[in-house]
Amino acid sequence: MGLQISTGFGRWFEPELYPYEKENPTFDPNYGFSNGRKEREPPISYEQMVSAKVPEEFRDYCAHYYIDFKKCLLKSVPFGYRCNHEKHHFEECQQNEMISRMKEYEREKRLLQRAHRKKLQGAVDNVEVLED
Amino acid sequence: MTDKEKERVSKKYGLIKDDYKPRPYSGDYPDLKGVGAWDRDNMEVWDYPETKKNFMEPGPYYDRDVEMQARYSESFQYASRARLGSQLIFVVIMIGFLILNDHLGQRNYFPMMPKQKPYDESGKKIVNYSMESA
Repeated sequence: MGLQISTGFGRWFEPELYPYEKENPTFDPNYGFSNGRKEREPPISYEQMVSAKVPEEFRDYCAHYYIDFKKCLLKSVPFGYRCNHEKHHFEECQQNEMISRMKEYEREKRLLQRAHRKKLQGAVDNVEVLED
Repeated sequence: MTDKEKERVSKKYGLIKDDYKPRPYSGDYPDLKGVGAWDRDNMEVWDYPETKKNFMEPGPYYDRDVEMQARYSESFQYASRARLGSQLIFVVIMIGFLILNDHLGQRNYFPMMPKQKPYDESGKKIVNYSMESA
């Protein structure tokens, strides 16, 4: 809640210092890591997602937990409470996903503000700033 | 209008001479204030109890139909100017609140990047990175 208000007002008064939340990160994802970052592996293949009829919004890195949960629900109709274990796994995965998205935003914001500071000191554009 | 003529006309409409005042653009018809049935005495014995009127009673020039209604009242106030003002202020405050709310709602957002997806819509793999270093 506090983050929402502070970034909202920050973007209102200084729009060039706060990234737009509906666009993907613009900076090089490996910048600052000596060996680069770990690539994320998809949990299941695209064909599996399609054949399990996973909706578009759940075709993410938690799709396998989603499929487990739905399978369990079908198996234990009408006693949905028996799938609380699977549901917990799915929701935990979604929460971790959200945290990583917030981390991505924070990284983007810090790099943007750093680039802005460097620009004020005399560098010409973002590429030069990153390679300084 | 002469004094004699005035006396004659006021007699014709059942008024005393001092009460007579001709209504503009209506010939010699007197300018009278109406009293609706709602404002008249219930306990009096009227010649016509339905409209609470007497025979040959002088009445206003206008609208017989409205006057005939049992609850018609001249003294009733249908709306007042002060009330209109307060209603207007209420509407302005409510609409202003909606506009302000919309404005602030557009400004505030949760600080998150879009969700990372393993595949795009055609099934092609998208490369995403976790926060750990390789």
